Amino acid sequence: MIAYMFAVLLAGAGVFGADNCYNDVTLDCSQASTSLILPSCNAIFGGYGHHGNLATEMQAYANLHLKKSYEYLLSSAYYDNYQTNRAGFTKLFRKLSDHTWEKTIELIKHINLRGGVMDFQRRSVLETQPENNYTVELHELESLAKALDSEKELAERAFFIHREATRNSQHLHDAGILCTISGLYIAQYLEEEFIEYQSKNVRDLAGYTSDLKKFVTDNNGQDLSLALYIFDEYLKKVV
Amino acid sequence: MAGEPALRARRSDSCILGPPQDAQPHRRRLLPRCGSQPLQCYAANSHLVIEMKFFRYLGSHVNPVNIPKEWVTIHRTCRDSMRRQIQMEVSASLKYLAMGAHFSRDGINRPGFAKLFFDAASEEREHALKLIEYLLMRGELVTNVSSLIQIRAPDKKAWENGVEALEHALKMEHQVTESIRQVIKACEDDPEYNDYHLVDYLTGEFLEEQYKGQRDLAGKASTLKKMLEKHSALGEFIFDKKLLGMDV
Repeated sequence: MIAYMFAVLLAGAGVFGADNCYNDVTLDCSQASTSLILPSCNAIFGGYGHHGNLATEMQAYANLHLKKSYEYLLSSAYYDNYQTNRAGFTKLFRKLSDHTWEKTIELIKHINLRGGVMDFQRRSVLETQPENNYTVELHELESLAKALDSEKELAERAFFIHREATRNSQHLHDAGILCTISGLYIAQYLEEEFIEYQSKNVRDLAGYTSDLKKFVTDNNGQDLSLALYIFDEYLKKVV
Repeated sequence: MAGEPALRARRSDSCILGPPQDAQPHRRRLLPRCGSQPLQCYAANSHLVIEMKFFRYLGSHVNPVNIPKEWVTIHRTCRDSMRRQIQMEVSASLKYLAMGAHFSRDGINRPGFAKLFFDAASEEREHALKLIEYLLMRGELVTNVSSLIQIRAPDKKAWENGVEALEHALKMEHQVTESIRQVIKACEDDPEYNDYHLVDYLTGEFLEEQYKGQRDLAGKASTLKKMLEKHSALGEFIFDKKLLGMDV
């Protein structure tokens, strides 16, 4: 549905599109100067950068992925030491780290695709608290709980940006139309590239947490040490 | 690695990790263990009592293991320099990310350079991973794992042109090489323990890769500089497409 609306709106955008870059070129070329500035010849369209916090939130989202990627990497390392020795947990965290790293680069590329500039300092308006130091020295259930929280934070942030992006859809017939095009484009990108994968991840991690919880509580916790071993072996196979 | 400072979890976490320095020995005995890890949980605040109920389930069924540690032989100065090297590789990965981001901008439009630097960023991350894996093989990273890596936004955000970026990358790689040499020195010159294997690993694998990488960057910078001499705009354009593997 969004893809359809996007196509329709994009077609309609031509009506609003002025020949700004062309005007820049003709104006600059008619002057006796060797410099060409052409400020309107950029990749920005559909109001990207003028649509609320969208551009800055996308930067912050890339930075969040980068941060999570290295946090997951440390968790993966911790579960690979000779005392913890949980190869399945190591593999799980390594996969999460690799994925968030790839998504960091993809997000940076997407920001550039839209004519934006990546800012590595940028934080979301949702990040009001000073950053906490990440702790990886946790036992198995705690670390899964933390991974679940992290994946939820990534998913919720995607929803937040999605909501910001589609906020103006009620103004389809007025001047908000350009903002809406930009927003729908980002909304579609987030749906396809992030939200679906994250939903599955959140579900998987919630399932693992639920399994581990049962091992902890069932049979007065008698099964825990063997259960953790078997669960780790299981993770080695399914991740 | 006894004597290293206990790691403190965030306030919101349900337990404080590591041997609590201020807990009384008799008190510690009464407290349940967290999972299978040799970590100690105790009620730091009264409001955590509810969470303690959960830990009661754990009881003392999972005993922390006590494995002989004689085989863990990396000495402190060597280990510390390895840890610094890991941080350095991570910082290099972030600098390369910034370079990749710069060259993908619409106003810069050098996809070949962007690809080169994004790939370099992933490569630096892989280096950090390899060093981490080496430490793990030698029995390290049992504690103080959280403090291993800090993420800071790279300072430099823009480059004048492709040559400047290549020369900057070359300088960065040289710094990394020198830093690896310092790690080798620290691990070889320890009066009590010459860490032959680690030194061999760094010399054979890491230095080899560094020297090859530096040669590659230096060659690219030279070729590009020659191409720019009389035809700067066209030279950089063609060189960029070559980096993409495209014939123009």
